[in-house]
Formats: sequence, structure tokens, C-alpha cells
Amino acid sequence: MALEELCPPSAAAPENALRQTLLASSLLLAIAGCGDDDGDTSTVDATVPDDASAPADFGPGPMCSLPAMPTVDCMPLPTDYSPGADDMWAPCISDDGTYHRIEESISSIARIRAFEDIASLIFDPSGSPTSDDYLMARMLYQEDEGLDSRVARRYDPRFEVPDGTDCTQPAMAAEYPDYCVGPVTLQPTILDALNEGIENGGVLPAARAEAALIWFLYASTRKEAFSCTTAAKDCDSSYAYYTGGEVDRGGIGIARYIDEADAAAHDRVWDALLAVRCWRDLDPDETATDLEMRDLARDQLDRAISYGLAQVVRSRLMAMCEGDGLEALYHWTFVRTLAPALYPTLGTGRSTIEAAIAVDDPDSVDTDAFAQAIDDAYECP
Amino acid sequence: MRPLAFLLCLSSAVAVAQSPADEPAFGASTAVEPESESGEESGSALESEEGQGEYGATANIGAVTTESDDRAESVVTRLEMDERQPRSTPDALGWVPGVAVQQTAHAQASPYVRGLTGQRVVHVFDGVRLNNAIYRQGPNQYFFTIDEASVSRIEVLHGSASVVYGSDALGGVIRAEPVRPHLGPVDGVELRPRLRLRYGSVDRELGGRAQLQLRWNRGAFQAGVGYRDVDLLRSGGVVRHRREGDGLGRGDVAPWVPRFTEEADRPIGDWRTQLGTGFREAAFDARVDQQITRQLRAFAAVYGYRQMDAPRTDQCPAPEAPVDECLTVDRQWRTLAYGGLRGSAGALRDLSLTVSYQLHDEHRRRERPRAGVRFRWVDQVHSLGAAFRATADLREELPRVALRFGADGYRDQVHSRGDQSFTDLEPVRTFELSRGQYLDHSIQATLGAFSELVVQPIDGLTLRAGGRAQVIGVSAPGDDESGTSSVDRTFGAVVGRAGITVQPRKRYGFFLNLDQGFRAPNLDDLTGRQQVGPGFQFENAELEPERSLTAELGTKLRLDWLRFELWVFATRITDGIQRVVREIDDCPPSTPDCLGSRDPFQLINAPDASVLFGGESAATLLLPEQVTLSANVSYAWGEGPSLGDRFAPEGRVPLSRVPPLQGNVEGRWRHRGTGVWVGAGLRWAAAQTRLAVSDGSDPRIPDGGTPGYALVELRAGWRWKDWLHVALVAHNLANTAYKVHGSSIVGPGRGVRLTLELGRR
Repeated sequence: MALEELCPPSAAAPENALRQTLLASSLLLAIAGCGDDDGDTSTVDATVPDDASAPADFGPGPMCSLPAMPTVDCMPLPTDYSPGADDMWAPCISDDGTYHRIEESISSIARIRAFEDIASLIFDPSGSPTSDDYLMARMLYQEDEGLDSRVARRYDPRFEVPDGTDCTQPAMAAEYPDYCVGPVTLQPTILDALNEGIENGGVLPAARAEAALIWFLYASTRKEAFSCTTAAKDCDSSYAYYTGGEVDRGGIGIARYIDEADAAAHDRVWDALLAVRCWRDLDPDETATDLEMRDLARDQLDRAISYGLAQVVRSRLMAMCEGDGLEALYHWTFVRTLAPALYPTLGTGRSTIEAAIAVDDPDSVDTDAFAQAIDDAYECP
Repeated sequence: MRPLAFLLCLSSAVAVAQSPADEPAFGASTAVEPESESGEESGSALESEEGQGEYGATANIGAVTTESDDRAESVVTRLEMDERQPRSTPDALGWVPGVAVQQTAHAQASPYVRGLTGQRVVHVFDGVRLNNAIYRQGPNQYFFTIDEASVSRIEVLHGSASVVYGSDALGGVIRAEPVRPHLGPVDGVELRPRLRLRYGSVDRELGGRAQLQLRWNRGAFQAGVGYRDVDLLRSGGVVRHRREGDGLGRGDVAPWVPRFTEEADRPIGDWRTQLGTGFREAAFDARVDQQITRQLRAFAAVYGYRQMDAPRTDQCPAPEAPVDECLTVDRQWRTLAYGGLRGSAGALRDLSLTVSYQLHDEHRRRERPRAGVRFRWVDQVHSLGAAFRATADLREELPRVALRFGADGYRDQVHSRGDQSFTDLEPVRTFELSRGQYLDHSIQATLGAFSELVVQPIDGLTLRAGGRAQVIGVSAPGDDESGTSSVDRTFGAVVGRAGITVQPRKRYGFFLNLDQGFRAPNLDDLTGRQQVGPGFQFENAELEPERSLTAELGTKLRLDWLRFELWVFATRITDGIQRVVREIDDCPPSTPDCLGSRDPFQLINAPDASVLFGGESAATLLLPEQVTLSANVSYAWGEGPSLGDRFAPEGRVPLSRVPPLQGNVEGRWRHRGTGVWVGAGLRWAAAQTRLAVSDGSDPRIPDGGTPGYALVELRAGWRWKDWLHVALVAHNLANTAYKVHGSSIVGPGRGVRLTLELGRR
């Protein structure tokens, strides 16, 4: 398919600029004789489709490499919960390895299913979603009580704000953009991407929408575990935002992404969700009182899911290096959009990542340093 | 629609006992006086009220004889409304014992009578039944669509009155009577212009009504137009949770409903101005009345109400949603045209024949500006109706027997649709939703007939019995896309009532009444999908009718200086239609708003009976020098079976939003010579901590229940003959933050209301 079919010249300026940059960079890299072992598949993530390929007339993808994933034996912290393990946790409802819902119905599940429906419409790096696909995606995104209704109110409790900070107030949200990540960052990103897709079609807007939605699911999993202190059923929402309500360590939505990027990380998020449920089983009042146990569970979840998200970013960086043409651009767009979600947990590596994603030209990115910053920041959960 | 097997019945008898003429009794007066016509025939509304010379008495149960003196009945007169200056027609009931006025929005209000509201209380305007096929199970806004300025009196019949007013009058009947011109001998043509202007400080209400009467010999034409613009409502503060959570978020300190403009930049102690309030409304009416004989009047009338830009407070914004998101009722329009006869003709007294057409037109819009999305819904109900009632004049043949009878029928056709738009696209893209809140082209028809007999076998004892046959047919097409089943059902029942009055002395009596009720599920129950206060409610096409049995016992004392009444009641509702929390998996297909709702609800028939107990008591002291003191107190207690939903405890649970113990005290002095009057009032309610399961998740109700409150107001005014009236009310003097239980809005804070009226009535 010709690029012009995907991105009409009059309206696909950002994609064209990226394409031109990519082409130029690829040419320079080819001249410089960028390493022959770039194609080493030992570090290629399973999320990269086997048949991923750029349109024939789009040119080669970036020439880059990443350090191999560090191979260490992951050992949970002594304070971590693992179902059935002989640990410091008292026996609880999670010990059978199953998430037992506090309430049978979890409304968040519908939103994760909507995410999957959107994914099947437009989240395909090798696809060519049409304007109508984007329109349908937006309808799914903005169903009544749907994803958008929650994106618009999502806050990130990791950030310190004054008591009573209310992200539903536009002025307050603007004052605390990191805390009020939903209305300030995610909702505008998603809507802008979907509208660009409705206007022009093309695959790159989908990458931004996909990344922002994954960010939302990441933030939601953690936020609901946070508010579970005063509303027990929010633990269910945390579980649902991660798994989509799936059982047996399965998962759709962000769980699928993390599982595909790093199955062990996914497994550890599951343990952490069970830890949260275990805490609420042992501390069942509507307002929790055992804050020490709560903090252990929350910390376990934070570490696990942040690690998992970092692996998603890393895997997409790999996919970019492996991919060609527009597909590589798709992954780079995804990485650039999602990477800021990691800022609070990146430590000293944040500046490296910030510098990387500030660059439009993916071939100017030091992918080694990018990956190394991630590897350095996150110990296995 | 399948042809309805309309049932007509009838027989029996009603009546109104005829007391000896020289000893008027409670049970006698309705038989002698044509109901509510007497005032008109003898003078204007004001003139008739003035003629009573008993200010304040009419506010209390049964103190003025109207429909039947054997019931617990309250009347609010025009005079009282002029002095209390209610914000709406429902608000005029705020001083009536046993009535609590819940407000889902600033521009909506729903009176609870003896703990019941919505579909279970029948609203009547000038003999025309207002309840239609989309009256909801919970509070609804429709009584608000009667322009208070056009009303001459409101009568509240407490408790079941199914025989006369329709089998669904389980909780009571509220009848509004319009301002009507006096019909009498006039030389030539008489012109009576009248102007009313009103200002309210607490929501910067500014409005008025202009009215013109043209009177000729035994005939009259009256036309009126009104308009008011109401701004955001200021409260006395925030009603906080009774049981505070440990969190520090917005919802942890106070209910999410309502939100306040000051939340953005001020501490909670400064929050006053409520988002999702304010509205505009216009009203018009015209009527022609012509006396045909000395006791029979023919009339034709049209009443229009136009409410615009009225946000639904609990959805503007929705709980936890960005503050700029809002569900607004763009259009709440009601047009009622009717004509008929009133009076006496031949052997028929209290004759009332009315043919009516009513259009209810509601447009709602949910706007999410930053999301670039808008939903719109339109619901229209076309109602055709006819009602006839009369009392057989048996005074000569059977002086101790009276018989009343009648029949009525209404047909409602519902049109409903909705769409979704992306407003940030150019051009705006709009998509039709597969269905609206209701199913397009749905029809509901009701037909009923009744008779009631009253016999006075001996002096001091009156027996009453009556019955009504009612048939209801409901038809709605299915909608495959939304997974909505078609409905084609017919319901029928016969209900009855019986009563005894023992009146040892003419000044006091004892009353015992038993009333059955029957309410078939309507189109709202069977097909409606909507966001209700606690969550999303979807339809149940399999609902069966609910039935009630009400017993009430009362006493009335009427002395020259004291009026006193006490009523106690018990209502038992079987197969009661109640909300139950459902699971997400129960949601119908293609209902994302249900799937995404934390608490989906469905109406079901309760497996066991629900009960309501309670009582009202009122007293009025008529003191020298035109001083009147009155007080009343009321209480209702409701309990039903646990419906087995996921939050419900075992056993029995409180019924939803039953008002708490409440009451009021009023005093008033009037100087007859100058027309100056002053008054004061205290309204209070105890905390309501008995919450139903659905109340627990209702963002309008504070955690732990609704706190009690007490409100004081002062009133003063000057009435110069019938030409000028100036009235001032200073309300909520302590600037108390309060909520009527179940309301979205926090009640008005400290403020004044000022009314100026010019011209003859």
C-alpha cells in the first residue's frame, strides 16, 4: 500500500516529517556501516509480529541495537506476598492463587473489553486503519461510563499534592499536571490521536492512542489499589484494570502487554494483586486499619507493575529496531508517548529517557543508553 | 398494539352522608357543597379565602373541607402562597404535614406523601390527571411544570385514594386548582389586569406574571403569561457526611452532589454556590369560562409551561466527573389543553366532565466539552384523556345516602430517541442511538370507573364504601440492537375502600378508613433505561402490578379557637416494585452505560410485603386580634424485604428515601384595618439514618444519612384592598446548610424574597 493512501499529503505532515527523518537517518546509518549484528534476534521481544514489515516503498527501518535483557534470578523480597509461600503473610483468601472478588460485579471490566475492541480495530503496527476505524474506536472509547469517562478523572497518587486537590477542577488539574495525569495528559493525547485518525486515517495516531491508554491502565491499576484503603471494592477495580477480569493468571489489556513483554513480570503483578486482596481480606473493614500491611501490598504492586510497564517500553524499543519503515515509526511513537509514565520510577535514568524521547529522529536516539537506563532503574520485581 | 380489553365497571355507591342541616358535621359538608366550586361561584379565589377569615387553618389537615371531610387532607391557599412565596408549585407544599419535597435538581421537585412519591402519588390539575406513562418509580420533576403563579389552591389528600383518583394513588393525591375568573352578573364588560413581580436573592430569581381577565355577564376570559430567570442557587454551606471517611479527597468530606463553584479555589467552609442549578421558565395560559346555568359552567383552557436550560444537579457534573460536564434539560415543556363542564345539572351534583390533550416534551443533553462528546435524548408523550364524575342528587328520596360515580380514560403515546455527537470534529459527526430512554412508539392506555356510596344510618355514624375497576394496557416495540424485548401486556384489577365516621358531637369525630390500591407497571418500569440517582437502571418487561392496602385512623376537633387533627396510618404494599442492585452480567446488551456503571439497578417485584407506618398531627390556635398559631408534625417509617442483592443484609431493610420525623410551626398576625401582616415560621426535620440499600450508593445522600435541620423565616407584607400586595420573606435566617432527604441540592441559604402584586384579581 502506498504511503499516500495511509497519510494524505495535505494532512499527514507529522508522519511525513518522521518518515523523511527516518529515511535520511537510515541512509546515514547504512553508510556508516552500523553493526552487522543488528539483526540478532536473541533480544527480540515476542510482541513483534513475525510478519511485521514496512510498506515496500517506505524504506528500511532504523539501524540500532539494544543490550540484551539482563538475566538474573528474580527473587521476591522477603516482605512480598506469594500465594502458598511460607512467608511473613498470615493465611488469607489469596493463598489458593485465585483472585476472589470483593463484589461479584466489577464495572471496570467493560472498559478493558472496550480497550481490546479498540485494539483490534486500530492497534496494529502493520495495519492501515481507516478513518471509519478510528471513528468506531472513538465511539468505543467514549461510550457512556466508558474509558474516556475514567481517563478524564484519573489521578496519579504517587505525586504529592495539597490535601483536597481535585483533578475535576480544570484550574487545579493544570496546576498539578503530573498528579492530574488523566485530564491533563492522557485525555488530550487520546482524543487528539483519534481525531487525527478520523481526519486522515493512518497507523501512527493509533500508536499514540495505544500508549496513552496503556498508561491509563497502568495508572488506574495503581490508583485503585491506593483508594482501596477507604473503599474496599476499589481493590476489585485495581485487579480489573490490570487483568480485565480474567482468571488463572491470565489477562487482557495491560496484562496482555506485560505478559508478552515479560511473562515473569506479569506473574509478579499477579502476585501483587493477590497481595492487595490478601491485605483487604485480613483487614476487611470498609476503611482499612492495617496500614503497614497495606503499604507492603501497595509497594509490591508498584514495583511489579512499574517493572512490567518498563519491559513493555523496552520491548517496543526493540521492536522499533527490528521493524521496518512505518512499523518502526509506530513503535517509536508508542515508546515516546508511554515512556513519561516511567519518570517517577526511573531515578537517575530519567534524564536519559527524557533526552531520548525529545528527539524526533529515532536514529538519533541512543537506544543502548535508553535500554540501559531502564535496566538500571528496575530490579526484577 | 394488541387491542386492550378495557373493562368498564360500575356500580355501587358513594357518598357523602347528609348530616342534619342544623348540625353541620365533618362528613356532611362535602355532600352539601359542590367541591371547590363554591368558592368560585361566590367570588374570586382571594375573596373566598378572605371570607374564611381563618388564616393558617387551611394549612392543616382537613381544616378546610374540600374533597371529603372524612380523610386526612391539607389545603394550601393562594393567600398562603402569596405570603410564603414558594419557589415552585411543589415548594408550596413544604409547610404541609406529611409532605417532604425532594429536589433532584433546582428545577425539579417531587413531593413525598406519607413516604411515597413518583408513580404512587397522583397529580391532578383542574381535574386532569397529569401522571403519564413515563412517571418514574422515584422522584420526578413533573409537578414542577405547573406554574405556581397560575395556581389558586393545592389540595393534598394524604394516603391511598385509589377509588376516586385512579387505582395507582397509593400514597395520596395532589390536586392543583388554577386561578379562575369569577363568574357572575356583570354590566357590560369588565377588564381586570394584574401584574406580579418577584425577586429572590438567593438564586437571583427575577420574574413575574401578567394576567388579564375580561368578564362579562356570567362569562369570562382570562389570559396570563409569566417568565422567570433563575441563577445559580446559593446555600448556607455544605452538608457533610454524617460519617466521615479517612480520606482527604472531595468525596470523603461531603457527598459528590452537589458541586460548588467555590471548590476551585476556596476552602470547604466557603462553598456556597451550587453548580448544576439555575434555569429559565416561561408559562402561558388562556381560558374561557361561561356559566350555562346558575350552577353549571362550561370552560375551555390551555396551559403551557416552558422550562429551559435546567441542569440536573446530580449530573451536572456527575459524581467524580470534571466540573464542566453536565446533563441539562434543554427543554421541559408541557402543554395542556382541555375543556369541559363543572357544576350541577339535573340530578347530578359535583359534576365534572373533562376532555384533555397534553403534550410533554423533554429534551436532555449531556455535554462533555473537553471530551468533545455530546449525548442528546428526546422524549415526548402525547396524552389524550377524558374524565367524568358526578354525585347523584338523592337528597329528597334518600336524605341519608349519597352516591358518587365516574369514569376516566387516558391514552399516552411515547416518542423517544437519542443521538451521540463528536463536537470537536469539523463538521460535527452525529450518530443515532438505537433507542432512547424509552422505546419509540410505545403506548399506554388506562381506563377506569368507580362508584362510592355513603350512608348515615343514624346521627353521628357514617359508613362509606366504594370500588373502582381499572384496566391498563401497555405496548412497546422491541429493539434488537439494544436487546430490548417488546412489551404487550394488559393488567386489570378492582380496588375498594371502606370507612366509618363516628361523630358523637358536631365538633369532633373519629375516622377509620381502609383503601386498596393497585398500580400496574408503566412504560418507564417496563421499558425505561436511565441514569437514576444511585446508578444505571434498566428495564424489566416481566414486572407485575403492585398492590396496597392502607388503614388509617384519625380524629378531628374543630372549635372556634382550636383546630386539631391526628392521623395514624399503615400501608402494606405487596409485590412492591422496588430497585434491586444487579450484577454487570445482568445488563442488557449494547448498554455501555450499564456495563460501566458501578451499580446497575433493575426494578423487580419484592417477594414479600413492604410496610409504611406513620402519622400526622396538626393544630391551629385562632387567637384574638387576628393572631393565628399553627404547628404540625409527621413521621413515616418504611421497611421492606431484603431483595437479595449484593449489598443487602438478610431480613428486612428500610425503604428508600422515606422522609424523617419533621414538622413546622407558624405564626401570623394581621391588622384588618390597615392590611399589614407579619408572620414567622420554623421548619425542621430530624436526621434520617434509616437508609435503603440503594441509598447507600446514592451520591446525593451523605454517608451515614441526611442530617437534621431547623429553618427560621420571617414574613411581612401589606395588602391594600384587592389592588396591591407587597410581601417580603426573609428565609433561613441562620443560614443553615441543609438537605431535604434524598435531594441533590442543598437548600437555599439565607436570603429574601420579595413580591409585588398590582391589579385586581
